[in-house]
Amino acid sequence: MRSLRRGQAEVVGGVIAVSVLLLSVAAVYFLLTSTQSTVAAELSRRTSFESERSSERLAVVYDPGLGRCVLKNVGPIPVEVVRLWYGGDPVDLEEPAILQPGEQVTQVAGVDVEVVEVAVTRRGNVVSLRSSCEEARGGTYGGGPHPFSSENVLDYAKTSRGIAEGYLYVNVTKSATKPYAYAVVYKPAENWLCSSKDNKAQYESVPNWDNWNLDRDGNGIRELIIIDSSSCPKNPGDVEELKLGKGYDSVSVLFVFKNLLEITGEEDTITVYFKFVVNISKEGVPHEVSFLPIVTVSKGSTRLSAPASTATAGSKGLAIVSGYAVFPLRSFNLRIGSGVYDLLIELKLSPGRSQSIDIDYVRLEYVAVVGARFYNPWR
Amino acid sequence: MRGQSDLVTVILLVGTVLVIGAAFSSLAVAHVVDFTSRGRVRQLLLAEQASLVVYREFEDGVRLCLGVLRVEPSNTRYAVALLSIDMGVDLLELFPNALTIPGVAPQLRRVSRVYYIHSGEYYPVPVGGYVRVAEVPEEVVERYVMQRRPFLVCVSKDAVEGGARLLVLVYVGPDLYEVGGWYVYA
Repeated sequence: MRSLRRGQAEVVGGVIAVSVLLLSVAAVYFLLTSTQSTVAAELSRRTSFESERSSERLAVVYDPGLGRCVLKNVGPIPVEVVRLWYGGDPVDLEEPAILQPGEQVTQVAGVDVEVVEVAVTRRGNVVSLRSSCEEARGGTYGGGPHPFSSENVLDYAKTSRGIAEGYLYVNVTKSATKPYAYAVVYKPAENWLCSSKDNKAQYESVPNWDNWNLDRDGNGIRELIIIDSSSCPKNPGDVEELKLGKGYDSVSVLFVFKNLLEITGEEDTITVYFKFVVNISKEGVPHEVSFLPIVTVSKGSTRLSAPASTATAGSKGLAIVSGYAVFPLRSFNLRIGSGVYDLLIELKLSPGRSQSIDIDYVRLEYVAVVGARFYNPWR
Repeated sequence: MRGQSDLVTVILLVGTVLVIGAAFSSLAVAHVVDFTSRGRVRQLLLAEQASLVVYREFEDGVRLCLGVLRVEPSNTRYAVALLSIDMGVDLLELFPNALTIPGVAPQLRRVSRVYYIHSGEYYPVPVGGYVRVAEVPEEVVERYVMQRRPFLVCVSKDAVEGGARLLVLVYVGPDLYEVGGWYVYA
């Protein structure tokens, strides 16, 4: 009986307390892991959706042969039109009008393309048909911003719609040293080039700019090249592309589109697409170099950064690094104010299997922004 | 007699511990259940936020029509509220016809607890008393949300001269939580 008297209540109480503690810890643990997996799954699903949504590309083209506008799917995926607006009213299509990639039509669900004011896709893209047709015919302009940023933004013939202080420059940093090369390549209302090493831009006119061929690889797209700011050319024929060189454990190339991204504060998601062409030295192969692109949207103390989802392809001596970064402003409560922001695209190159890297050139061939207005830095 | 006394003492002590332990367990379990259920609500709302896309579809001089698209089909009940920019005025109370869903008649009702998002946290809408909301009818859910098609919500510009904030809400029990929205200006 002595043994019964001592410690029985304490043991029972202890078992209860420990059980409650374990139950609480287990419940919190499972809740946290479940929340984490939910966040990851939902972010992945939304990113995938936004990627598909951004890939939808419908264009209204004037066909001189037909003497009328046609609606063409110029994107890589089928597009389903589920609603039309004409006469100021929405009309839902019972059967969506599906346009396969490359397909073009003069009517959508029996309605003439030139009559339709707006077509809405299943993924929530909106295309202004009538105003785009008027633009395509060379008629009135101003049908609102196009839902898709165009590729080939480095084509100088496009207009910037005038942000007074917008410009573009490039910083190159080798290892931990300070940036040693700048190339300011734009100033409004003037021809452009060049810069100084202390980052105080000095602009000079470039004669015969229109004849300057920036399509270095002859694929029909003008690349942004990097030049050494200390050798600012006066003549387009004298331009020398900056060779990054070898013997470094890492190189960072930062393209800064200063004051060229306009955000209204109503955006749901902003997606930034880019494509780099990297010339690796003769001996190198792409898989010996590790590419890490980071995209940043910033203004004052507001700064949003995202590592980009990237695909790399290449053969000996050449790598194509293309990808995109998604900023789901609305869904994840990244409320930022309206205004003009900087867009920074940084490509970090570091050795893969080898000890150091040997890079000839880095060129930016493509940059596009979906979800916000991105101004062309070339005019 | 001594042995019986010890036995009674042990029974009393263990009984007391069991009673106190049961009460303590109940209290702790209640707290844990409350914590986890709030966590699950957060998960649900996070998933709903990530699934909803709101975009501007059409605008003219008298109205702004927004498209509301759920990325994955689901039988989710939605409601829409229209408040002033500072959230202090219930514009649907002042202008009951300010919101329309083309083709159907949204049903207006008053809800006591409506929460909006600010910096990632939910706060009750600071309108005294009830908030008037327009419920998205079941037929719209069946025709659009479950078919993965965007449905329309149009806002009359007469009602939003000083600007307004449109909230797309989902039900969690009897309460409504914001999962999407738009700032509307005349």
